Amino acid sequence: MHPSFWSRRIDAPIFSGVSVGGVILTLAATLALVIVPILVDNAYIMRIAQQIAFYTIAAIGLNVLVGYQGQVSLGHGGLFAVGAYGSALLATQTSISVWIAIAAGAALAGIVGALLALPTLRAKGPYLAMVTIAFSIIVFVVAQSWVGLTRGPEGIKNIPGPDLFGTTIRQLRTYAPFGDGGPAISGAVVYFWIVGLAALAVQLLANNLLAGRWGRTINAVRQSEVAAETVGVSVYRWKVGAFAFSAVLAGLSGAFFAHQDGYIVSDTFTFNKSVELLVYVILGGARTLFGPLIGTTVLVILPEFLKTISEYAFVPAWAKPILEHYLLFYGALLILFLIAMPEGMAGALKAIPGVKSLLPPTPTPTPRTATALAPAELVVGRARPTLVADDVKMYFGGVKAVDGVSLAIQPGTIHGLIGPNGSGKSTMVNVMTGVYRPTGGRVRLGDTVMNHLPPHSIAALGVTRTFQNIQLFKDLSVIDNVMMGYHLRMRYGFVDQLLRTRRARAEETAYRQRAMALLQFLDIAQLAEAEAQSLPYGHQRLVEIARALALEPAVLILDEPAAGINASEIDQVSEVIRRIRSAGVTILVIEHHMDLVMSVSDHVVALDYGKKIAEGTPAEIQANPRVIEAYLGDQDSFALPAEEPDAGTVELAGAVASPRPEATE
Amino acid sequence: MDLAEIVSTFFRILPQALVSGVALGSVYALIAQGYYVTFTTTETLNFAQGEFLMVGALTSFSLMVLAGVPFLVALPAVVALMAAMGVVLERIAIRPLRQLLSVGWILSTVGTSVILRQFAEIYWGREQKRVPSIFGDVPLYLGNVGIFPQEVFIIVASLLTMGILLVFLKRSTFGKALQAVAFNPAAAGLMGINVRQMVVVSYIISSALAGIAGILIAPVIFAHAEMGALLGLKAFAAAIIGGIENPVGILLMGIGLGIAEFIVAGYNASFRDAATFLILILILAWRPQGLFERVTAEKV
Amino acid sequence: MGAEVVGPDPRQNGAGRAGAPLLRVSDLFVNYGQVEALHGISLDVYPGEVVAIIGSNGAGKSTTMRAISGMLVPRAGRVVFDGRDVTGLPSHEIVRLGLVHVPEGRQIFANQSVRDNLMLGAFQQPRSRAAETAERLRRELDRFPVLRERQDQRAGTLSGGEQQMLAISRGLMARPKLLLLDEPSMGLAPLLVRQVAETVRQLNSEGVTILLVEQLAMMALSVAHRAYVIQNGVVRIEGPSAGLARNPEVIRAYLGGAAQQVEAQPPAG
Repeated sequence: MHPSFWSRRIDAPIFSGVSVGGVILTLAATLALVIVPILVDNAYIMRIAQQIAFYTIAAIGLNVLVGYQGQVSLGHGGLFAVGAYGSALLATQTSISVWIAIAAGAALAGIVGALLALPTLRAKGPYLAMVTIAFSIIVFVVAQSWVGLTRGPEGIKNIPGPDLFGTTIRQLRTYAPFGDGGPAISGAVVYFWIVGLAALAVQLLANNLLAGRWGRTINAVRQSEVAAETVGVSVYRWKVGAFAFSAVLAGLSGAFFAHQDGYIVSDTFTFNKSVELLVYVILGGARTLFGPLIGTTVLVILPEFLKTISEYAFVPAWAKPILEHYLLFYGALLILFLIAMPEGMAGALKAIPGVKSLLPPTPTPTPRTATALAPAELVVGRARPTLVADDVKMYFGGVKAVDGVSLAIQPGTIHGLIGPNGSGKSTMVNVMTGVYRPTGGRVRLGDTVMNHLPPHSIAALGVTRTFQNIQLFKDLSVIDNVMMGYHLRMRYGFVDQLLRTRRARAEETAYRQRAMALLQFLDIAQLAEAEAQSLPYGHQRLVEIARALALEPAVLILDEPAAGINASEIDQVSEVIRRIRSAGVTILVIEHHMDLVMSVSDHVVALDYGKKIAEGTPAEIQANPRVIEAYLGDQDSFALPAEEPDAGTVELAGAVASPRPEATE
Repeated sequence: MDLAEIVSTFFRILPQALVSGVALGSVYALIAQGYYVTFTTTETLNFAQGEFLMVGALTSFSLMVLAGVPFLVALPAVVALMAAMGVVLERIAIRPLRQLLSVGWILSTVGTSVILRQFAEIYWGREQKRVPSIFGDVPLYLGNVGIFPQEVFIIVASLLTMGILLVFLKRSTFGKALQAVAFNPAAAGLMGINVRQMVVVSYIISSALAGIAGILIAPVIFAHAEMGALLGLKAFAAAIIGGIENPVGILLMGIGLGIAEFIVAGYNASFRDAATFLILILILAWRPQGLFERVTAEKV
Repeated sequence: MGAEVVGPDPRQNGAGRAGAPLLRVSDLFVNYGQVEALHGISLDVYPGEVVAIIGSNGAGKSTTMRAISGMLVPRAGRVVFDGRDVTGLPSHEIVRLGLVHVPEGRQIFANQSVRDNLMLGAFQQPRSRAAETAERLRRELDRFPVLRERQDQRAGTLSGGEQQMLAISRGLMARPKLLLLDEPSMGLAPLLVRQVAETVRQLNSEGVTILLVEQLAMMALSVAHRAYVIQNGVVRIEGPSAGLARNPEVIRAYLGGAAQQVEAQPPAG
């Protein structure tokens, strides 16, 4: 078959965007899952396979949290225990179906996870790691000591297996699911079908989630929380959500564990379990789709493998205890991989040619056509209120960073804000975008007062910004960065995304077309698929602006857009700013680069020591003696040297247009 | 238990809890000062600190019980071993991971703790080792309250060590240089201070503290491979609640947690370990920055 | 007419070009990540001079200073100090050679006492010189009386101007052959800025060679023999301060060229 056949992408529910090769692989894997166990029919191997299956479920969840969202949890062993005990107790103490008990165990773990995350994620620093460790330990201690509930080290026995084919599944019995004429299948195989297919489903659904808007947002939050807030993402809620999601999967995994042998003891649920899960994820490859599966498979088999080796005669006596303590290997491999192979085993596999094309894309590929909308419709979609600062004060302790500044940004104009170091410009911007709550005065958009609103709410109202040190979502493609700007507009929900429904695909395509049009508007459409951090700095700046424009902002605040741009690109930036204004966007530019800000602004405000010292047209400001004094100092205060007739001033080549000199080595 | 019983039990437990709790708590505080030293200097800490203590304790067993080495020789030997381990840890598990993943060092030090625990099980076995106290094992009694001479020694030695540490940090040139690195590494470099060296020193100090704690506590709670895990984590709780940049807060909180642990144990022995962590979670839910830490407005 | 010059006017002496420069910076290129901030800066400082680097913020002045003192490693170019190539050396080694940087924003150790800050300034002085160091401490505490008054107070309780005095004295504790002063006037009220200018003159008259980075051109030009005007990462103008003080190009370097008239466009839509 022609090689391009395998890499053609299909468009269908659940498998949208996956290559033909990938679909065939998935179907083959499913068939293998069903058929191979019947052929193998070895109870020991089936147990290992079951373990791999349900631990993969937990690892996939933990990977979403640690790999994609970037938080460390050392408590997923505890959540695993919650799922196990929850399901076991429900199944043994009540008469509800085991399937419901399993679901309930998973749900309970999700709730506990959310309760844990809610207070902890408000704090910065290594607190989440600490709290999750504490949680792991508490769970273990409770399991050991609250014997009335958990039966402690003696454990809960006779946990029923799930019902299938009209009977309860037990590992050691045999069943005849194909009628009396068909083969006898052992319970171990049947249980493997259950967990194996569950794991497969979780993997597919997780792939879908990670390829869509949910995954994009989680990734974005990891890379720049500040920028995520400016496109309307409530970072705190998403972090808690990611934690809860991973908790549900850990609980599901634990529930399957409980019903595997029908017997659980508290000794199993130590802190080590949390470490094991993390090791599966890291070694498999954090932030890869199949890393959890690969890591779990290798690391579940490893101890068995080591134990088997240690029984061979050629292994010396001193080596045997080392081989038995497989955790030693886990720990050493963990450190090794962290330092030397951060991409994990999945990363290593991806390096093999051809493998990458089998993977589902993250995310959907770009449509070839852009939407045919005029720029004005792309970037301005609403009424244009005036952004006003009324006598804003911002004091930090005794420091008056901003001391009574009033501004009004008229719709459809470009406003410049200048001032020497320490004049309060950046503080002013942070107050207007909700990063700081002003000590006094008001910030309002039209009649809506915004003083108390967090940044993501202010973004929702239509005030957004770019940053002096560009805050792009570095690993995302250019077009995905812009798609994040549509975060508040996209409507398709969690389920739509899990199943990659038609609605989800249609909305993604529509917004992708809009995003392409935005990129065209800024002349960078050809960069759509490039990874954001690979671009030269000037283009990165344009991507950041495109993302901000996607919000169709009422006011766009550009914080030092010329920072880091070399001289030959400054004109390009000016031109882009004017183009945006022509489309109808209101802009506030904070800048040091005087040529830029003076050439684009309709109106300039100058600050010094936290107060407004002048405002007017650029020409007026440049000639204003107070402004000159603020920047250069008061001529009269200093005794300037007398003119020396024979001392020449050397003026070097003009600053603005000089080409970049060759680097000398 | 009704209210009257709860209250009366409390007062019955209190005197012994105070005494034993101060001893245990001062060990927590000693371990936690190690977290403080590295965290202020580098914004990282050693999640294997408890295991370092364990290696110190078991090494003191090997030296004093198996090899008959006197305490005054074993102590510096253990400290030297710990210092070397600290240097290796910083080089392998901390330095390469401080920039790349902001959480990499958490995972690598947790990995280190696993490795050390397993190694200890292999080398020393799983059984608990008795290390006899050099002051004898006969408890002293004051009324109903008993205290082992070793516990008295623990209190004195820990407080002395912490005192010396604090004086060193605040008074000596070197200590002030360490503080300067903690406060502003770039400016410290401009003073001629070799920041990288100071980072290594902070880990040496932290590990030495763990070693001292280990050799102090071994006679009281038996040395074994698992002893470090809970100790290290409870000490971490003390550091978090007391404010990780506040050595006095850590001292107070360490002792407080030690006492709280004994009080809870008086009611129900099996919940003694959970108590510390429940307190931690409750306090963090209420005040994420810890009890004593000052909240500094972050300037973006 | 304005502030008087106290003591011998350093602009009349010492700016001898005889001999090699104490500091020679050649074609310095510095990057912040991907962004090139300095596009080939060259400058010289001769013994006994006060040389200023002026320009608007964001121009690259402090970046230049940080690349000289080792806080940043240049991508290309050379820094030669006192005959030694110090390009790319870490700052703690450069200080030992006598190149002392008083950083932007003062960056004193706010949680330690004034006296301790000064002692830290002398950190790299060898133990054999302890007596000298103690003598220098005494002198620095007397240079700015407020420091002696508050020597045991936490440095963070000092006002902005006092902190600047402390930062300068702390730098002097290191026996600098060349003192780099990075924006000493930042955040200070005009009266204090004049005091800082005074201090610079005084130091130079004591024989300290100074490279001064300043945004306030007028202040810098009143104390420096020569100046370099930096704009957008390159040296745009250089020369004796007398010539620059009256050069309109300097103002343009700060506030941009003549404002281009932008035609008022009716907003679309």
